[in-house]
Amino acid sequence: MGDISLKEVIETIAMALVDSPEEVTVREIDGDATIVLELRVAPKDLGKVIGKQGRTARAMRTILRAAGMKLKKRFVLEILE
Amino acid sequence: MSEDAISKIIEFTNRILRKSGLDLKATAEKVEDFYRIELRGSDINILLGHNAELLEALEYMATRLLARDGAEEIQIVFDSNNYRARREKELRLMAEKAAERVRTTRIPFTFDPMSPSERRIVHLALAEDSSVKTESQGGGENRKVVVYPA
Repeated sequence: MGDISLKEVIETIAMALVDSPEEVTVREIDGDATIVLELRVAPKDLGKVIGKQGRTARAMRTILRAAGMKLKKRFVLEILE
Repeated sequence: MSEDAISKIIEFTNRILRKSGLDLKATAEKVEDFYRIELRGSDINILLGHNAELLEALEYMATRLLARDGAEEIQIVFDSNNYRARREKELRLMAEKAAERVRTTRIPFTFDPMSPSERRIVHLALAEDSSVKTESQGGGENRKVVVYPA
């Protein structure tokens, strides 16, 4: 499956939830064991990607963990202000 | 209107699953007053592991998407291999066992944290039992049902 991209997973989710999808960026930083995904959104959209009590951020991390199980990799989501 | 919103959810969910490399696919079915989003594929163990946290996460994302489109009135339930029904049965059994223990020991019993819908099942399971009363305690992801002697 050449279609796999966790960067696009986070982009898809963030762009669907924010008011300014054009300001969504995700940077992928590949380490040896861990892949860090840095999500940036417009300041006013920060709450939308974090969610009430962090639920949206947690749901994104759950999806990354599930994908990581399958791909035998560890994905870390950083939401940057 | 609701058919469009549901198609959008199916497309969104399947895109996330495909891009995550998971062999799971969502389809929608109208059941009475809600839509059942059924997930099928070989990665069902990943989907339903850890109290189905991936299933719950996908459902939560879909409800966010509906809210975003002002379609909160559309009820959706993500399910796979009858998980919801099996889990409900299991929760009812756990509730009865907890009530029995509280009746004999007179010591309150605290469940592990659960989602609002799961807590509701436990409360309802013991609603008719006059020997105990139930309450939810704690906030957010840590909210738990406690069973007390009546």
